[in-house]
Amino acid sequence: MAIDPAEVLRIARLARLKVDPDEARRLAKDLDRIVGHIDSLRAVELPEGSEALTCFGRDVHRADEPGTCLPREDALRNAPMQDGDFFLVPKIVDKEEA
Amino acid sequence: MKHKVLVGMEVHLQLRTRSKMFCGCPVKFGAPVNTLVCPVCLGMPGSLPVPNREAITMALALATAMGCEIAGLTKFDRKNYFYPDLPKGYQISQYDRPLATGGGIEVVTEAGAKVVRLRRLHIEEDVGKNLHDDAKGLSRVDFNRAGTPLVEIVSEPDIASPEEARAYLNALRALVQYLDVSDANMQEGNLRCEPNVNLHIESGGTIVKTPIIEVKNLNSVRNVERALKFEIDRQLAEYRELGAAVAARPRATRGYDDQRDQTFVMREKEEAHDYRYFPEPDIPTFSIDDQWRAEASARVPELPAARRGRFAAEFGLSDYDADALTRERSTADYFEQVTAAGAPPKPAANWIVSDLARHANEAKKTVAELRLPPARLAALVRLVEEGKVSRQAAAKDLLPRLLEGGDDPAALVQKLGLARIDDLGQIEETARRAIAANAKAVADYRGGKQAALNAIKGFVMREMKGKADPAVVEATLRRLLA
Amino acid sequence: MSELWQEGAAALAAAVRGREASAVDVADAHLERALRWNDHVEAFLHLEPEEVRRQAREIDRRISAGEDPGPLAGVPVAIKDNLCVRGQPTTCASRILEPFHPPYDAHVVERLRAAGAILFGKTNLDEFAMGSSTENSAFGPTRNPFDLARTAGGSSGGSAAAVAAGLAPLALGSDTGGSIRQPAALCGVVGMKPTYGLVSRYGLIAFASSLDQIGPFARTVDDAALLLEAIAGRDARDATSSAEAVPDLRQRGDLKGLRIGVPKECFGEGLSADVRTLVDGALGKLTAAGARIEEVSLPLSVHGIAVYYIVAPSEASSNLARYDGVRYGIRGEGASVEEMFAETRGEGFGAEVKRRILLGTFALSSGYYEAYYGRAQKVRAAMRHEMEECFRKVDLLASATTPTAAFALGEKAADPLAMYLSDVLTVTANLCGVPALSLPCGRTPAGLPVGLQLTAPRFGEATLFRAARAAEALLPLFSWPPAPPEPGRRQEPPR
Repeated sequence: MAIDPAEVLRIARLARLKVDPDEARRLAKDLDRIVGHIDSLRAVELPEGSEALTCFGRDVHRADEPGTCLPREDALRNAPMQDGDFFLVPKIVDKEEA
Repeated sequence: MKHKVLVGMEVHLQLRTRSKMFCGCPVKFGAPVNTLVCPVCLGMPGSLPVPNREAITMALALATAMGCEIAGLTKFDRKNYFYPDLPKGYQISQYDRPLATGGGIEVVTEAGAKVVRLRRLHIEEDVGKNLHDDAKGLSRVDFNRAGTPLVEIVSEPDIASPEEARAYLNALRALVQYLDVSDANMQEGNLRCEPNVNLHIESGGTIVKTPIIEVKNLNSVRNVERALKFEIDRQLAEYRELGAAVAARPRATRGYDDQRDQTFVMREKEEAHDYRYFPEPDIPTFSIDDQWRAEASARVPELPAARRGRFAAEFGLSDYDADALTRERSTADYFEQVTAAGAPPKPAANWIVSDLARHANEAKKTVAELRLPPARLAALVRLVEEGKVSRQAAAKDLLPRLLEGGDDPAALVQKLGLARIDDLGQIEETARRAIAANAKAVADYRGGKQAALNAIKGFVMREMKGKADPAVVEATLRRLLA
Repeated sequence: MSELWQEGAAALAAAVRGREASAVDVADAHLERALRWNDHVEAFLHLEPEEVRRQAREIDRRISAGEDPGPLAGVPVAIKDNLCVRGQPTTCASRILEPFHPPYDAHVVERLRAAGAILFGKTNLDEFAMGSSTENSAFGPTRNPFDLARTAGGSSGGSAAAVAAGLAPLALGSDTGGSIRQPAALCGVVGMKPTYGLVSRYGLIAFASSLDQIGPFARTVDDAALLLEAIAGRDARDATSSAEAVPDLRQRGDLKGLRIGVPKECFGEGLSADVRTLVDGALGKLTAAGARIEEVSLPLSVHGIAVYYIVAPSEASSNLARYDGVRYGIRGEGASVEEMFAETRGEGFGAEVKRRILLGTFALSSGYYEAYYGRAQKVRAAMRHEMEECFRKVDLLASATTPTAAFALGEKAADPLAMYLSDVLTVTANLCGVPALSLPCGRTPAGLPVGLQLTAPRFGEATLFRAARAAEALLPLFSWPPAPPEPGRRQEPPR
């Protein structure tokens, strides 16, 4: 799989990362070499029906018991923009009527 | 040109646990904004999710009740996307190993009963809420709801009409209320649904499939029905315009505008559907063993469909009455308490389904929430059945007094002078006055308009304050007018 | 008694508990040295003398009141800056979290407070722990105390350098692909990555959830065990934290009959001659002491880097999605939320973090999942199986910790793949969830430390520490780095 600047821009959009064209060219070069290395995995022979590893451990749950919440000031304290009640963000346009 | 409607339903239900899906914050509706939050449900760096066992048990009970096949081994996955109400930049959900698959929900419409098959049921976490403030060009975000446990139930496209869609949602609501796992209230947003709809149009021996449209922004069962009606018409119109080429149009998401009663196209990003699901590494896989299944099964009570069947068989009720009685678990319980208190079942059912239901609707309550003691309703039903008071007077005068807290129905009948008038002489005399006062109706009736008799009969009943037996009044009038 | 900053943690705790030294004296001795040395090594991102002294006074007060503050009474512990400390800056060495003050303590921080330790500043790291040299820190690299022109290693370079230079007797780090063991080796101290699940990750700012594990730095194996004892054990807030009993870390014994496997894949061409010489010498001493060294093979381990550089970036791409400018951290300008997200993340993340987010996003994206993430997790499962099989034949594995001694700052900065390949000997333990420990085994002719890595089966920490203690006794003692060329100019605390 070769990675070119257009592919970098596609992934960057998915990852919500602003990347300028120069950066995209550099990143394409780096990523292409890295992907070239990791592509070596395709040749690894595995036993039939190999399962993927997901997580160590098994069956961990908690009981349905309410705990304590953060005071609102603490919840909001780190926010770049807030009004004492809500977190504030620029207007959301992506789900409005086209 | 014939067409078939195919509707599949995707429903999200908030589970009524005490704490959230992956943290200890309480699940509550209407708390002050951003007070039911902690590092976990705010997605603070370093916080980690731990699944709530009770939420899984509730989902298992629901899956059991719907006859789903429960997974032996399951896991959580991350669904990655960006939105301001999504604290972690991913939603913990289940992807390729849902908690349950298959099963079905029986729905009843005037056309009869049928089973809508289910595709899958899985658990996920809810997101926060965005409030748009157009004036300031800002959105405000409240994370109280973030992390509330949800089950998502996806049906096969077995629903064949907007009416069936309504019946499906009503049946599902009844089911979850019976199981006591969710309030399932669409207005409060604890039941949300996104139907997808398309048509198979037969024309000239071939079948043209319109593109599947997913409809969003639906906040009531009524709007689901209206939106689907609109969408079916719109798709038919599109077919008339484009013909078979309609099949090549893309799938799309449309929003519903209930002011204008129409759907509109929603803008979507090209990569909007690349959710990059992968197994949630913070939560170990978990198995549903026999003991857990048994625990969930033990929570499944007699379900609406079974109870409906039993009511019809045991009490000789119509399908309609049996269905209306069993839609709310508390109403069905109430009916059984009334019959246990000595009311004959059929008239008791009729009183609950028509009279009490109307009062309940007006008060925006359920029948049980009217808090009329079952023994009192049973006494009223018996008074009517024994001819001590007319059905009409009982409904109009006696029932409202009982709902206001009046206690002994028999005493009230005496006190209010509601006892039924069986004096045929008095009835005949009033009937003669009615004939004299309603010349036009009399002429119409004699001219062959049977319905005109109702006006004359209404006059008699009013004159007699509803205390006469309507059947006797009618018979008397027919005799006098013959 | 030598100077307080030269003492180990066990000795300091004993002195404080025995009222031979006050916690304030201990704190001041370390503060004095840290403030002087930090200009040269840049180990700390944040160190507030008053806050340190406040904690020390509280320990002294409790001791005067007849209380026992715990096994780490008055012992300064430096904290890697990806661990949350309530109300203190916790930046992950990233611009994006520069203003962040967590409203809660990490589990390990709670445990340290409960053990009477003094939280002694926040140490430098590669941004979000992504790197092997701390050159990816948004606030500048940490320097190796043994040669200030060289790397201290990474990502926990600040913690390793602080312990090596005597700025703190103990430090916490996190290890995702070698981030504790590699800097420990390059700075000549003991560094240990526990079994996945032994230490709660609650409050560790995630890089790659299935690989991250918190562990200790110390100048001796005993002190490392003391710190690990304080932080290990089940925590209900981390679902991956294990319910297994914490292994006994205090065992002592000799090496007689201990079967130590030497994976031949770890002695390939990438290993420098200096490192090979020192590691061979160490293995010879272990043999002489009665250990049975035998060659083993882990054929799949050669794919470790490829598996690691799919799994870790994939998880990271998701873990770092939360930095969106809504609830914490910096925010970029944008007329719409979409623009704001992209600006915030574009400005806030450094080059390596962006590279890994993109790599991970690619590996998980539609059409590539099976070929990359799915495949990598299958190979990983097979590697774990291969490792388990190997531990049927041997008690421990031994190898070098790193292929080379500390490289020069800037040497690999322009070549991400070369930097990635320097993790070749350490990633396997993370991928398999097994514990591994690096201990110093000598210095190169240029005076640079080299580490010997011992690896045990899951929850095999008892054997691991027992063997490491025995090995430590056979290997050269810890020695202090030379004093910096001139006294530091800056007397103010950093940042």
